[in-house]
Amino acid sequence: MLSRQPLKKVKIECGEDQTVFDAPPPPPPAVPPQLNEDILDYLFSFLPIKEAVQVGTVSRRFKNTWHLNQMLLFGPDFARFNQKELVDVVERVFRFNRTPEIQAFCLHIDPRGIEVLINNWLGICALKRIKELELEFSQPFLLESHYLNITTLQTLKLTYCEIQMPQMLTGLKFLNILVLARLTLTENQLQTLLSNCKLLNTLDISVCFGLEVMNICVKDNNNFKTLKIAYCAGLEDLNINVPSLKSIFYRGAVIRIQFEKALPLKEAYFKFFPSRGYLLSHKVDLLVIDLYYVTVLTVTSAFIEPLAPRMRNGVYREVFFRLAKVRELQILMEGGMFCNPHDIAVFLKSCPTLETLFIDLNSYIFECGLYWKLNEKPLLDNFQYGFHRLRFVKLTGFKFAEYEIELVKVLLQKSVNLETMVFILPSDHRTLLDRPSDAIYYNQLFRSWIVSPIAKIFLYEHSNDETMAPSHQEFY
Amino acid sequence: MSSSVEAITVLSSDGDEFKITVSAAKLSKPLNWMLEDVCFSDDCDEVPTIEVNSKTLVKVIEYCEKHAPRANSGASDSDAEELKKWDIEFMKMDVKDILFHILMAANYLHMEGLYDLACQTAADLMKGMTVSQIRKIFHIKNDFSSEEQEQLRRQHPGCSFD
Repeated sequence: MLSRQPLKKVKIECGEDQTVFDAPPPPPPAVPPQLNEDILDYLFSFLPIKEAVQVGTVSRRFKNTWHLNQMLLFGPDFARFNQKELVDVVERVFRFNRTPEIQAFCLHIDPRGIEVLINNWLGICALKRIKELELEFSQPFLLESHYLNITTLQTLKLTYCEIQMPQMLTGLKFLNILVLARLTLTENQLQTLLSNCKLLNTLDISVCFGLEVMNICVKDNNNFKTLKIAYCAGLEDLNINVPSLKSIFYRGAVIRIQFEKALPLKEAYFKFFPSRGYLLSHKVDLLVIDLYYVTVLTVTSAFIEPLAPRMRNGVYREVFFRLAKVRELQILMEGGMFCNPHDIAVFLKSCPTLETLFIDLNSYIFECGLYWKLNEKPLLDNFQYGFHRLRFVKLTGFKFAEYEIELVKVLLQKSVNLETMVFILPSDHRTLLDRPSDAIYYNQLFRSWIVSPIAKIFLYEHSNDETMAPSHQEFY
Repeated sequence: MSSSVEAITVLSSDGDEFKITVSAAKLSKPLNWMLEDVCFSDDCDEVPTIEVNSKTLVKVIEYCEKHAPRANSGASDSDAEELKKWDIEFMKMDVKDILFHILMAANYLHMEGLYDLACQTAADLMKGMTVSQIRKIFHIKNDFSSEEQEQLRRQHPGCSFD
């Protein structure tokens, strides 16, 4: 019966031929071996500086162990410090630091008036062969060109920095991760970075300005696996030519995203902003063809809507595309006001190997007017395609609204191998499931639609949901 | 060392024998020196003893065998990401059970990569521990006087001492 499930179920099965014995007494807890002081000194140097200072209070021997610290992280843990307090702490740490190498320096600060000090600290980091550098400023800061020539850097994260490119970029050869946020980026700067970072694995650009067309062309670096682009105002075209790419994450307005060719991507995430009008398909048509090999996909309803069947050149027709390898699909319902249950069903039809489906209904309300009633609903009622591989469906934020139930109906009726369908009630408790008798009614209704002999249905409160989560969580 | 030898046998401190490929053994400086100085061949009856218990030595050899191809091939980073993921899985072990033994073994065998990895793992596990917990797990005796301790509490108001 459909009912609100307890948080956890534990099922213990014992076969007929098995005998249950009394459990043996648990072994005595193992005592960890004693590490010598030199090992402890080295181990403590891997703690973030805040914890390293705390370790100094365990005994006299380790009072100054933070002088050897190589993780100089002054990030969110120091958010409550004002600029002066933070400067005092950072200055003291650098003054006493005796480690030959600094693994990481992270600084979140207002740079106004302390530019000289910041440059001093960066200079020490460069001398001590820093590997990971994260600078997050609340006001613009000019990063002098020679810091981009630090050869040992493996991770570089810059927020609100004005980048000054060296005339000849000689550093960043070992850079693995590059994160640029809230800065102005020119085509020339981007291309210089891409051509010099021969070992780059991840490029993450968010809230950056200055580019209408972004060309990510990296053909001679097989390490380049992940590209993340988000909230780049003014960006119209994103052209990608990275044969080794495995993951793409995009968040922002609907733009034209074009791959040189369809890549064997492991995962793709496209969170298009809600649009005020009906979305034109030409920006998504080509993109979806390039996603042929993707195995894990997240899209918003604003991605599905332009691909939905509708009048095209005077003829009502579907857009033909195949997401032939998609095993897991997550649909985030936001924006795309005209996306209806039939559009979703047609989209699923293009994913013939789909096994796991997550739909986050959010606060989305299907706008199903006369067009839906006269055209789309009859098509959904006579939907012929079966979701033969689909085994797991999770509908989050399920309100038991009329059109959500239409979606459930087609999923249950067309999924012959379905094993589990999970309903998660909305976090704001706005559900039409008011009385216990409602649960009984819907339980019977849903069961009457099930065609899979092994399908089970579960309902959880939002706060009690411990069922399988999608591979893609929010990436910003 | 005879160039035909591809693997050598080593003894753990418990007296168990283990095979390790020559390329994997080279990740340890002492073993590498030994390989250069001692003739290992099929008829050689000299079996070096490593002062590491069998349970730990199994894990150390597993690490060496996994990292050897990349370490010896000269720096191609194509598999670096995969290796990083493997390291994370490899380090999911009980602190009390084996992590500290790995740490000591890596230090004893001069294996920089494993030593750093084990230290970083142990440091990550320490986050959120109170001062008392740190003393207990690392067998550190509190030798501060009560006055000094009171002063420390004032100096480090954010620290958990209990």
